Amino acid sequence: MPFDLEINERLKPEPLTEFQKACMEKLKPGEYEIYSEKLNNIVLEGKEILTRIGVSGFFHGGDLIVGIYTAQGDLVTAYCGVFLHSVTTQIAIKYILKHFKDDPTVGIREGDIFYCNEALYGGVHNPDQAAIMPIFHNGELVAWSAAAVHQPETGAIEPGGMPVSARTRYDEGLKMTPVKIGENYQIRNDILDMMANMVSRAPRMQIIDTKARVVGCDRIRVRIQELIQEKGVEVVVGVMSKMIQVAEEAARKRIESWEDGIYRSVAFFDTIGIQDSLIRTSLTLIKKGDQLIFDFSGSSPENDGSFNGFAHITRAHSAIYLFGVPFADLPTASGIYSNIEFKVPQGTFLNANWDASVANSPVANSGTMSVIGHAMAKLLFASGQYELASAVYGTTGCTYVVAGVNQWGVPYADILSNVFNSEGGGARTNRDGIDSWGFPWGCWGKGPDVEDVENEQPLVHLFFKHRKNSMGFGKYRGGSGTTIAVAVQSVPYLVFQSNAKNHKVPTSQGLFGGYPPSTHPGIKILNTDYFEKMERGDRDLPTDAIELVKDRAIQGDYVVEGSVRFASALPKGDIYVGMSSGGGGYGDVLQRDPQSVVEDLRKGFISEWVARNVYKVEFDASTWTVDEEATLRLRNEERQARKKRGKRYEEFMAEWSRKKPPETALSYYGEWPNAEPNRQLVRI
Amino acid sequence: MTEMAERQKKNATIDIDIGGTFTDCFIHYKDQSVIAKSPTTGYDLSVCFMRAIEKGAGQLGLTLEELLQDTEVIRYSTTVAMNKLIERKGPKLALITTEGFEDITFIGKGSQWQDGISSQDARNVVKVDKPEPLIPRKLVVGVKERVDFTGKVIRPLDEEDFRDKLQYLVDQGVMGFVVNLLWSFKNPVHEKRIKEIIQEEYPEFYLGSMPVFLSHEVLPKRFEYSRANVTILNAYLHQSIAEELASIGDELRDLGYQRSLLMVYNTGGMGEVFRTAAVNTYNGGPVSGVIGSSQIGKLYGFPNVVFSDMGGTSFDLGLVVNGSTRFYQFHPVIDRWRVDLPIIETKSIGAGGGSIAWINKNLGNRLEVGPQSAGSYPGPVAFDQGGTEPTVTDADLVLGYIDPEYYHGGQLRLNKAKAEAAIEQKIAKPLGISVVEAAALIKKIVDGNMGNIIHKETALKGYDPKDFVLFAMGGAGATHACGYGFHAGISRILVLRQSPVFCAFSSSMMDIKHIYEESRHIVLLKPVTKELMTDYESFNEVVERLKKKALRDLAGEGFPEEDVLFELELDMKFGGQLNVKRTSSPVLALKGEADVKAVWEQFTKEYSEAYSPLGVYPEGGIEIENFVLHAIVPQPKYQLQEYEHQGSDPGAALKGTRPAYWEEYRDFRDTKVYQMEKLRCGNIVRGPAIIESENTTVVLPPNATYTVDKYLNGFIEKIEQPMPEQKDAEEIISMT
Repeated sequence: MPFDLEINERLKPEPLTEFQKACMEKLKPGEYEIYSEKLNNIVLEGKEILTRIGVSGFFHGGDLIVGIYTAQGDLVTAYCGVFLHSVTTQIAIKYILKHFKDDPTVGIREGDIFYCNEALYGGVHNPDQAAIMPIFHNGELVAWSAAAVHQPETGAIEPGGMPVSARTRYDEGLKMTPVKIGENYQIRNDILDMMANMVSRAPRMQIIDTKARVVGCDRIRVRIQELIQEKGVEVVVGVMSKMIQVAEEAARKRIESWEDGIYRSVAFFDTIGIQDSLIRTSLTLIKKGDQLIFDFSGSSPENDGSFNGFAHITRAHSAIYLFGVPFADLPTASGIYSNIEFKVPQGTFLNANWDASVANSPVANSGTMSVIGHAMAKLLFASGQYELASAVYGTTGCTYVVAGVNQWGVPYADILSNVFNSEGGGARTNRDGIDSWGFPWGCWGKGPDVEDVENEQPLVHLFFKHRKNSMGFGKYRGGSGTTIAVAVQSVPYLVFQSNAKNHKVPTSQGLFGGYPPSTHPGIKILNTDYFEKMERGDRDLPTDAIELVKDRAIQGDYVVEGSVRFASALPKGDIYVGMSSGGGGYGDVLQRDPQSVVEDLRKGFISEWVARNVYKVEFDASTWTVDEEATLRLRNEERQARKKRGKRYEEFMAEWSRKKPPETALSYYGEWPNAEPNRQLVRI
Repeated sequence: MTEMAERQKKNATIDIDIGGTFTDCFIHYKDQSVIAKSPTTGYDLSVCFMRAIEKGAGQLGLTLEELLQDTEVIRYSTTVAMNKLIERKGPKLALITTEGFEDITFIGKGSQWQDGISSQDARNVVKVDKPEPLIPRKLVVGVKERVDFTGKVIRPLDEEDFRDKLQYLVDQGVMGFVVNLLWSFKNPVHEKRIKEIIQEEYPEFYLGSMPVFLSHEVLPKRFEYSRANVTILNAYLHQSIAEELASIGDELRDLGYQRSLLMVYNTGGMGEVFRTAAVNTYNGGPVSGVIGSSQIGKLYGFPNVVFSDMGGTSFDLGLVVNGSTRFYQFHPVIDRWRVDLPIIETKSIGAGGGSIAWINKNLGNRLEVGPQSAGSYPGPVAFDQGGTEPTVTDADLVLGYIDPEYYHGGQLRLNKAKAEAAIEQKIAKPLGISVVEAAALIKKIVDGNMGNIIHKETALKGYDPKDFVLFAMGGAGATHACGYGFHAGISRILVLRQSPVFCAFSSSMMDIKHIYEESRHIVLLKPVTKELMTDYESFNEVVERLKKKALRDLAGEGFPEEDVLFELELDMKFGGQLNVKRTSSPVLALKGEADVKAVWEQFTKEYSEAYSPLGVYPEGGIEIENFVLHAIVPQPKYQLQEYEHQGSDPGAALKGTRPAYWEEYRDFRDTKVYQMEKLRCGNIVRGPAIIESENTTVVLPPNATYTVDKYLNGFIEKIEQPMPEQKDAEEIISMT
């Protein structure tokens, strides 16, 4: 095996050098406060520059990161897009330092530009491409800058960069180990040509986006060098080191203040790409003293599809939650990991063998996001941090890829970013989750307008709206997800592919009695009369996905299938439907304010059936008024019925333990019930 | 116009800025100018409007009526629109969309919750919320119709269905309609028809007649979410602003005023109130300050200016770049709503004299200043009005910058002992440092915060702060300008005499200007083949249409075509890019290949300067997305009075000395204090020094000089150590 996988373990800050220590000691009062903000501004500037230049939908979606790292490769600060990149890019820098610093054929010199997208060297999956630049002062390496953005095409066996039919790493397309793509602040055109050639479904996009990453990095390099010029290298190095130290100490103190205990969570999803199977993510979270341990033992074994990951990818996924909720006020620095341990057993799908396909590793790690959010909510709630405890947001990862030649004659591969950026937020302990909240991996991005998508892609949207009943119900409900349908217009055909899942089981959890969000199928309609109906002005065109399949007003061949779908070509007039997940609910549905239930109904968030049968609310549909008395009666009846259904714990467990899903659902689950490995994988 | 030109010129101009706390007034009458301030009367703005003018008239020895009858023009900026929005006091409106897209304003591109809040507040994803909508979901209906991206109708409007939905909305008691259909800016046929139907059903002579706002008329640009927001905001603010203006207009006419009432736009121009879209008046005051800065900048020959205004609770800033205010927000937000309007950017952070210093125990006892403010009541501890939290003003007092006996000209005596005790107890003790060290740290941190936002706002736009001159406005601006300016990397600062009412003063220097926009996708340079466009008409017809609109509006305000100047900007991008770069077009019309190339080259030049030449990629094609036409009628500007040079020695203005703390010496020094009003043209004050006036205090550190220029404004320069003992005054003045 030609790889240095040890490098992936180096998530925590490296020991401080004597120089770093000396610089920190020399910091004058106020310098840390002021220049740490300046460093935050510098990464923000790098991010803005990057997004203004880039092309692909993921720049809209915010699936990106721009960061500053110490000379040793430790994260100092990053602009929040997708935090997982900030953590993983450290590893690529540490790899470059370890292997190329003293290699005369490569070396690290001022003006060098490095680039990588190989998951085995700290990456997440190969669509995530990063530019990396060393920052020098008087010939000494003092820092690094990096800019990583997801690229929606990699030259894999399917368009879109996340092939669901991939079975091994050899199906994934362009995979660059950390490599020097430029010197003296110039990107080499021969290497750009090579990248465009290997990503030839969307070569223009590859080149512009590569340039955008490098420009983002370079802007940081310029600003850091200016700051050094102005304030001296000691101040800059001192502040960078202190940011890591402050994050470390503050995180440690905060962890220490939380309630000791063992908090558990499991999550499921329903595919490995090439076929459906129940897959389990299991977490035991141990909080003791100032330590947190995330133990993923009991997760399903690795598979020969593309829904696998490596241990460092699972660790990186914790950054989304940790930097985004309990440590959101601390520097985005690697120091927060000093007191956190991970156990991700080799052989689980979260820590697969090096030759596995990890093309869909983020989607596979949606379970990681769910169990971390869920277990941490229990820990925070137990520690009195009610404001921070929330149910898990939607974690479908609804990536709908579209590829072909657009109406302007340009080949492209991109995603439907609007539905992608609008999964529902989790319910809070005092209010509902946020409707159409965002992209769970990096919720600060923005979906495009319908007019933006239709300007760049030959599609007509039938609708784009909140999806009824998509969220978890509860005392406070999860935020709503959305639904979209598009018809191919003005070109002979387009290729569609879907990385979404959750057609059989939801991944996100509800909290303390709240429901999980709903599942959602994959829908497409072939050979339609859609444009003819439009032209005729037919009144019965569907206005959402439920009407679409229920009423079937549009003539055609309806395909209702799993959410995850291989690439297939749809001719002009065919319709493709996408859906995003709602967030998890919080608390008992019977405690929800009946007026809020009626409001939800009126806004189209829930159906009448849910209002009456789940929430047990009686109301007058013509005046939207709650019948308080009848509601109270219904709810009391339901409480009585619950008591009747209730069982003693031992009795329940005895029954529950006998239950087992059908064998067909367990093909890649592992041995029932504990998910131990039960098959030999051969990857060709 | 001939009638207007011939009518007799009157002697006064009046500029009013109604702010949240004070209404500022600047009056120029014959060869005099006066400043007046009056508390804002939120219940009826015409009251403070008239009071401020009356106060100014009194200073000129005139009655309100005498002044108004001899006034040529009144220019007016306000934050009224902002307050209406914050209070959600607009009318009940309905939104009509394309069927299937009723949720667009609620989905809000997903992370709508982060618009209009700081990036720090947006980081904790469980604490954020989406804004309360201006039009609730139950008052949104979708109509059966569809236009595609080329403007072709692919589904006809179902009128009968719409009439049913209209009835539903009317039954809900709506007071107005906003219509925002997909691709309406490409083909407005359905939006227009909807308006006709509403007017057929509810003709104007009925009491039920209601205004209809069509998105393609308010903002004919692509992107349905921001177009919806602009149209909704306009409809929402329209009525209340119209009412305010009607009452001010009526009162002015009753008092004998017969000329124009102009309103300042957030897009940087002004127009007659009756030709003003309500949404354009939002944030007019600070925008006026930016425009004023550009005019003053021109006078001085400074192409790049940072306008800064440090008051009691907030710090506002805006930029002038290359002599132009053609500098817009990338993602402009009004309240919590993304708008795709060319509004001039002003930024605001919670940093002012009243900002509270506190210790953040969560972050290792990190000292923070703001964003909470003690406000004017109870105010800083030194005000002795019950305030207990140490503020920036308390720190300034402890450090000797402010004279406790001469605050606001002695109108408010400050209690220094209480300020010291509060800093001691709340900051110094917990950090284990002295009171003076703590006070110095408070100043350093608040200056750092302001400096960082300046740095961010310049650097993020691709400009180097070092190339800018800082204008220090607001009561606390001059006190902290060296701190925040030098921190941001700016070494030249101008302190104006008019700084207390600068936003009102600024509107005396503005032009009549309207901006017209339209989206049109044009491939200027084809990808791969690099063929240049040849269909010049597709470009020219858009410009012609926008010009026609402009001339129509300006003719209505009384200006003939020959008075109007046009400037064209184009939103451009390399093929496939998501974001556009606004580029100033070197031509108004394309006549041949040379013109196309000129546009291409200008775009490449501006793009390289703002981002990096590394990002240039013409092989991907070059596209135009939007046209932005500025129609300008230059107005006579107020001229600053000039004074004779009187030598460099400021000795005559010296009023004494007092100990003040200087970071450079890490100690107090007996420091010279000058009276600003006594300084004469050519005087040079060398730091460390303090220069006081009734309304502000200039704090001049050891590494700076303050030169009084020919307008009696102060020009501060940072000088590298060691400081040259003698610098020729003439040399400094010639630089200003």
